[in-house]
Amino acid sequence: MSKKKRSTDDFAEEIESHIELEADDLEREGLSAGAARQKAKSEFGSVSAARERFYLRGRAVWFDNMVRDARFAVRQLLKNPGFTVTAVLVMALGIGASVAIFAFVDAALIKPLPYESPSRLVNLFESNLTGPRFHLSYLDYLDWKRMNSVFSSLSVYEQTDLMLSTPQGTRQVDGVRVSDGFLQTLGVRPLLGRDFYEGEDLTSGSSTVLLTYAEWQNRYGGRPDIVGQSVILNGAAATIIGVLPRDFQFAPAAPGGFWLTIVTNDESARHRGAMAFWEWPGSKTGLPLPQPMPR
Amino acid sequence: MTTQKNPDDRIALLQGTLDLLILKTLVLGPRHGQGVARAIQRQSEEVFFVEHGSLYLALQRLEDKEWIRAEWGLSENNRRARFYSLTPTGREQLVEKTSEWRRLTRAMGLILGNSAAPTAEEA
Repeated sequence: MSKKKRSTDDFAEEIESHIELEADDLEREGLSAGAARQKAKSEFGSVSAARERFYLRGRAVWFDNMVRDARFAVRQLLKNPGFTVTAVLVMALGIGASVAIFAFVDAALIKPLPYESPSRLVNLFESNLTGPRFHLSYLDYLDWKRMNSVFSSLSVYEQTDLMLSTPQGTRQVDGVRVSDGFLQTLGVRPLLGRDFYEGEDLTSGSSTVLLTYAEWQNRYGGRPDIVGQSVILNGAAATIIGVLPRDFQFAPAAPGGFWLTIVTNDESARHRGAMAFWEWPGSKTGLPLPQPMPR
Repeated sequence: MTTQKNPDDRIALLQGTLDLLILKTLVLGPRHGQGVARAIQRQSEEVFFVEHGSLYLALQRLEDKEWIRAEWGLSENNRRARFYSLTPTGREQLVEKTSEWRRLTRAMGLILGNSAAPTAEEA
């Protein structure tokens, strides 16, 4: 009556009853009790085969086998701890290496750069007699910017080491110096505070600084009142004016945590030979890439 | 020694006919598996040999399809046995399969020639 699956024991009992009923009939037909039972048994054929067929009926045999295989595998692994440890280590290292490589490939090749229109960004170099890829001086940058008719904006950056004064003493930290419109060229807006305003690189003299998200979290514990705080960089006070977004990264100047403006008022800025800056222009929208620089 | 024939003269059941025969043997009332096997052998004049493993699988299959239902009970000689009986669906199926079989045998007869009905000796 119930829809429950019938047990193999119940089935076995039925077979047993069949053989007894058959033996009874055979006995009634004139056989001795022993012979009747013998014949009933042999007439039925293989009881174990019948039971097996009943057991396999309507069963997902492959699943059954899989469970058995899994149990067997676990037993074998427990029996040979040396082999198990080796196998697990090999697998772990293999998986770990694959994941690491994929993570790198994903970040470097698959994921778009965290900028507004990464496909329209190009890196510019100066080619001269010494070689094809040179950085340029501040004066060159100004000229390029003035003569530019191809790119929607032109910005420069430079990696720098800074000395940060802390209560525990002076620490060397990684910094980046950029021209005023650098973040706008990338299409990045600060998470907190403000960006450098136009012309700030002419006047600030390193008195304003933007922090990366990581720097804000790690060095300043993510304190919410960070904007407006003062830090001493290279012996001079600088005001923290903002924090960059969490997913922001700029690999060419990594791992710079302190972002300042370029220095435009010292001696080196007046020499074309002092090539400090890397060009990082955004292309003019609508123009195909690459376009030659007007020279 | 018994009423049973020499095993060589018996015919293995055609695929698909066992279900119909089981339904037919249950028409007159509940029977246990051994009774069904005996009935088929007796009524076919011992021509059909029922392989018991197949019989019980067929019974189980029919039970799963709810054409028959089963209940443990006592046989006439006081043995515990599992008794099978037809359900209403089983009765409908019996009628349907019987007419199907009649059509099939008639068509076979037409092709093979209706001179003589096959006899057990031709097996």
